[in-house]
Amino acid sequence: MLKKYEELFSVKEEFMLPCGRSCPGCGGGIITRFALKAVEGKNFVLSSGSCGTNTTGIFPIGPMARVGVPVTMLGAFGGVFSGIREALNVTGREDATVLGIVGDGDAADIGFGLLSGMIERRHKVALIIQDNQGYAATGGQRSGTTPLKAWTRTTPDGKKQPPKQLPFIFMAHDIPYTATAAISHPEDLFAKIKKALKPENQPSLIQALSPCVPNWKIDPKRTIEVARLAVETGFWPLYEYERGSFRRTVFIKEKKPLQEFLKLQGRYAHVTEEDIRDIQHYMDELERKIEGYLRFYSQEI
Amino acid sequence: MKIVKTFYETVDLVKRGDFDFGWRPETIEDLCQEGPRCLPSRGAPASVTPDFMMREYLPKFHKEKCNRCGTCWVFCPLGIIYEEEDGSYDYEVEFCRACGICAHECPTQAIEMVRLIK
Amino acid sequence: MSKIDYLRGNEAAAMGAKLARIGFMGAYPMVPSSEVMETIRTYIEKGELKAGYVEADGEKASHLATFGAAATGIRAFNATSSQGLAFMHEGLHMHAGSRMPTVIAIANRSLFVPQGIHCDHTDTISQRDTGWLQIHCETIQEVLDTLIQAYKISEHKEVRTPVFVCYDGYFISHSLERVAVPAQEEVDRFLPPYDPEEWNKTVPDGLPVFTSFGFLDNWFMEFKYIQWRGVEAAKQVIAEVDEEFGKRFGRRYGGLLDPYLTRDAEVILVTTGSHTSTARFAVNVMRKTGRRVGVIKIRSFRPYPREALCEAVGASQAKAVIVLDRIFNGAYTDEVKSALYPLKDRPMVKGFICGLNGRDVATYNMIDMAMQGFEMVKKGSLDQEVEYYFLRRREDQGNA
Repeated sequence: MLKKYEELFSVKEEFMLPCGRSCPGCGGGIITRFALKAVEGKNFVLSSGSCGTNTTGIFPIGPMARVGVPVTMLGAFGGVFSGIREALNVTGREDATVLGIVGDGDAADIGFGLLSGMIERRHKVALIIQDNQGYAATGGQRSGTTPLKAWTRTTPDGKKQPPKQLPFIFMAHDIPYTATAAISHPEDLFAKIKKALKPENQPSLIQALSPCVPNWKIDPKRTIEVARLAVETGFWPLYEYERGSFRRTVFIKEKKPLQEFLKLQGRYAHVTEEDIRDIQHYMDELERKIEGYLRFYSQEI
Repeated sequence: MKIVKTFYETVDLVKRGDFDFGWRPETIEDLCQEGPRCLPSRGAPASVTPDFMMREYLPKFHKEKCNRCGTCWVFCPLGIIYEEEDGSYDYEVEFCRACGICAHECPTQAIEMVRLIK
Repeated sequence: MSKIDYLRGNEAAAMGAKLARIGFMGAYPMVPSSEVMETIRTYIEKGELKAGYVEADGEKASHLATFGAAATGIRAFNATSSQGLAFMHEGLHMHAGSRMPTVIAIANRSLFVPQGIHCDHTDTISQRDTGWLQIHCETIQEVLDTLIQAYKISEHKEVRTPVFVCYDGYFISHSLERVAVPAQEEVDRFLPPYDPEEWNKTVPDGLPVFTSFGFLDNWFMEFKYIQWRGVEAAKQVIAEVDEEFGKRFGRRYGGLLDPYLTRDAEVILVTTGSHTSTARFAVNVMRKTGRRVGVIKIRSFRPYPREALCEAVGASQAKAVIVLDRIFNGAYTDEVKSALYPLKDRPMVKGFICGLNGRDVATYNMIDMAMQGFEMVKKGSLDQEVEYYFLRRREDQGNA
């Protein structure tokens, strides 16, 4: 096997069963598979009602039958994980891991307040946000992380506002570890999940880009290619922040043209030249912010 | 439970008082009777696998072209691709949803999406 | 051996939780129940109670933390009122459906608009369909005792349903009363440690956690049937637990409801909460004047004691039932009427909406209501089924 996938191959066992209800080609499957391998199917893995329910399935049959995962209602994970963590601590199980796989709608919108409170109280929880940039489970409405100018069912003319960047928001909360990831770079994702599980790095939050076949209107076989182009065009930069040090984890020397990424997705079929300039402008701003953080955290300022 | 087709059959049943009131679960365990019984080898229930799903294509693994890179194993969203003893790869047909990612990502084009003849 | 102490209602709730050996509290301040969380915090700081504590960022978060802790299999507690309880609403359905025993102490308070911090039962009536059990307490001693009983009821294997222990905001939560505090050893004998049953332990390395159900389309109704049966079983269990508590500690509260001098009563008052004490006094006064009045205190609001109420009213000679309704739309009256429906000789039921946002319902008010009951009996009919009682007139405006 390829050298770069060596870490991934260290856990050959599949803890996620293939019998769920996710769409063919759903990127969320890759996130869940590797997250479960990272905790080796033990301890607490929790999901909340959203597309995660498709990968969590119907208890006690379903993809998580081997792991046994509590499902909470939408918007609840901030409170539930806090309670579970404190209850485990007070009964002498501080070493048990609490790993949550939640959606972007949950983390950025309906559950945002509770998530912020949970991070502020520093409960030792690791979170992976399956970011399909919309409310996919309810049919593809816009969410807080839907990108600029993208089509969704509630923004048919393209979203007019830029998205929330969750890692930046939680860096302002002084979270110990936060990162962006993408399913096209699974070795990077796996390494980040492993780092997120270290007790000194918790609470941690990883926002993992996961293209959604029906709502981004892409060809199912190109799911990974779309995610890869997102990274390689600079649309979705991969970086991590770990207790005071900020670094890029995948550095793209020569960025591919944005159009290559956009043309594969039906949700950008309506964009004009001006829209593309706006998207590129947003991406340049994002790049500047990252450069700024790089300088700030290496104390060059 | 009788499945009644016509209006007059129903009228007849009511007149005769011949109703089967069904089964009442007593405990939570009663509810989940289906689960343990329908678990095949890896614990996935047959009722929610794509066995009854319409699949137009299915991947075909050409072992002779396989370079054992493991890319297909990494990128399968369901994790149904597995490594064999000789290092090449194969997949579990009954769970495949024919998304086509393995065929698209394979660097040596060793996987081909083949149209099923119906 | 019980010791005597002077406690406020909130302190009694916290003391009850401490004696019940709770393992976790999710907390968010809410007038008039904030002292409960503060007292529990002091117990934890002083080492008198070993429990996890999450000061959450809202009642929704604090309830969800309580839910999460209960899912890992420990005794969890929370305390709130009005707006906070309303904010928790969504999670309450999930919690009751998950069948996890928990107790939440509620200091009843009115809901906003208009802004008011005083006693009213609108907050708990809004949660009557969440599937939680509700027990209303009349005195501070009852709050302490009921909190201990509530865990036993909630964790009973036939019931497995979470419980609200409700008491009137300010009337009970902030007044002082001489209370007999039972000794920890005696409470331990009455209330054994919480043991989540085998079916909760589904995670491979045995950590007890409830794995909640995802989409259960085929078996949804059956699941709800089992849940409903748990609530119905609580009728028996609440009565049994109260009886056992009475045997061990010498104080009993009647189980589901507490009738007082109803056997030969012509008019019965039906009350919930602290104004039952006033009603008992009013009944005594009226009995001295020769009027046959009785009062029934509804202690368990969910499950509603339909059979017990029918029995108590049926066994009396009441022709009129007066319901003291502390809810703006007369919901308690509807419940009483619906419960009394099966009686062959149904009494007339009239609801007085009184005491909203803590407006005092004094002895003479209750005597007045009972007298109106007697007039109903004389006339043989009632003019209005539900009536607002003792509204101020425009002329009173100068006297705030």
